[in-house]
Amino acid sequence: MSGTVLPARAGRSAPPALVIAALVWITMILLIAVFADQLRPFGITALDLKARLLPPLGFGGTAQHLLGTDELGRDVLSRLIVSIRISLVIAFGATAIAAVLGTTLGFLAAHFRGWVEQVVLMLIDFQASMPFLILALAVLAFFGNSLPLFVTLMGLYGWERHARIARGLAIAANAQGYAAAIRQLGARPSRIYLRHVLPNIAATLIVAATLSFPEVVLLESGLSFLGLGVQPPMTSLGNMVGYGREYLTRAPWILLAPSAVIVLTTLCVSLLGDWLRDRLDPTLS
Amino acid sequence: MIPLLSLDGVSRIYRQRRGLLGRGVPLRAVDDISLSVAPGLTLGVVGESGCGKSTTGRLALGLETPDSGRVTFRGAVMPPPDGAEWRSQRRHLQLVPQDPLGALDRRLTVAAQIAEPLLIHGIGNRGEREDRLAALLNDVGLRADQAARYPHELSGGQRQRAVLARALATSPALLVCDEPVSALDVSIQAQVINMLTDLQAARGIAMIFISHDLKVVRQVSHEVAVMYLGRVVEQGDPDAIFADPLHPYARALVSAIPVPGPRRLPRIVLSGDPPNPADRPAGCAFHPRCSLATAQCRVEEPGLIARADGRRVACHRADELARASA
Repeated sequence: MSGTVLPARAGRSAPPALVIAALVWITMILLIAVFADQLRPFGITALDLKARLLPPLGFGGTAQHLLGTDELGRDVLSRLIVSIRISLVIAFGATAIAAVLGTTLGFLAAHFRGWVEQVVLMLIDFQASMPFLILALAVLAFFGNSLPLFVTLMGLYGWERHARIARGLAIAANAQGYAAAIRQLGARPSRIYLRHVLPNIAATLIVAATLSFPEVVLLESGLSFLGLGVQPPMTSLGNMVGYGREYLTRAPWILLAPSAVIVLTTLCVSLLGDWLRDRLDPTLS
Repeated sequence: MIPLLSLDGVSRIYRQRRGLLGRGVPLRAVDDISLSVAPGLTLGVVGESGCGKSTTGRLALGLETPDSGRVTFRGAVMPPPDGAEWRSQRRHLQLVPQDPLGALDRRLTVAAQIAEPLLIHGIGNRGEREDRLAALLNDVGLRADQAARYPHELSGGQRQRAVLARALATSPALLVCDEPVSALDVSIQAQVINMLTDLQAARGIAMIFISHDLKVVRQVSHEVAVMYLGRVVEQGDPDAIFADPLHPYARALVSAIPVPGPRRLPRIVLSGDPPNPADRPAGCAFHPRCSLATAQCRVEEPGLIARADGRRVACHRADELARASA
């Protein structure tokens, strides 16, 4: 693997090979998500009972089902393509909601202090002390399941980390240094927080977001596995892993294909986030 | 002359907690201070660390609200911080901080930050702002290519120039310089000080110059206030104070200025502990370290009394000392 060694210092002009690879993979995944309906060779519910548990091409399978079929003879490749779309919508949507919600609450706490800060801190403690899976189970059991609700619920996962980071760093910036200097110039709070504090703490927030992205994917997988996430006949990466588990010994491809996509995508998001963090910081060159 | 800014009997008290469950101890950072700055002139504020110099500067800028007394700018009491009126008043009152790297946003170029006050206060259109930026850079002696860099890519002196240009952007009437050169080495100090005094002469800006460096204060000030433990102990014309200080603390400070050749006054080395503002001694706050302290000094706090030459001194023995040195 000599060709993919990350350089010690990312150059300002050309990103390292590994980052380019990550960028290509994520672009590909995004394109697959957008054009899922055009790309899938079969419908995700199209049964072919004569070709059940068919292995992938090259392992005794046929060119008709490149990644084989599952226990009902449904094409794994088609299901994988549609799963990518659903899981990406959930993971990116939820991470974005968590980052925006958390950062906003963190800034509000840092700006107003006093009782506003106490309320936000109480919410953070509540969120951190409550097992999120139980909370998610309760919400889904009461309100039923729909994709928008599911994405919003996942968005509540991990916001407290962003809130803590944003609050702590904003308080530090306000107490001494650039934020105090900008306030002294007569700037409105919106300018202080959006133009100065946010870019300065973006590096930390991006890293937090790239950490919570894989966790949301895994959480979605876990909930789908428990039957509370994405409901059949709809499919998602976690859903496929969950149901494929029963055929792990006889037909491992059902589970391995979505697992590989989860691993590669989360790894690429982390790599890209790390590079972006360095890239956004002008003091590192 | 009508003062531009005046502080009348201003105090600022912080509550300092001791230990986890300890009760708050009042810390009188600034205690009943009255000062004023005339348009275009410089008031120097000197004193050791923790004597309330910086708090005085923050009170003068309106960044903090005094616990008693009042601060008036152009005859009007300072509006409370963070209101709309307070924000729009910022263009007239600017701060030159001690640590320019900390006061600059490291993710924006220096030029963008120098022009920012113009954007904040909506001064000029795009072209006018660019002209103003070029003029400001010229005033403080920064080249355009230096201004296009990020703060960490500049030297300490260049950063101080950048911060100064930002403070001057809105043409303020008063500049509070809080130890503006203490982080620079001596040759750069002189350059920055000369630039400050030139700009002041050209634009008629009033300044409050806070420093513990008496040489610098003497060079820039039209009036000097010596502070000790949150109070002014001697105030007046810098030449008079530096040539013949009356208050024993001012004497000790002045005797510590390095002079070439033989000394006129003997070096006074202060004994005793540095003062703790949360635990003020009774009577004159300086008496534990004063070699001339009498029984009266230990009980009775001296007031700041005006003398015939216009100086004001807070010492029970000022008259004796004046006669002795005359």
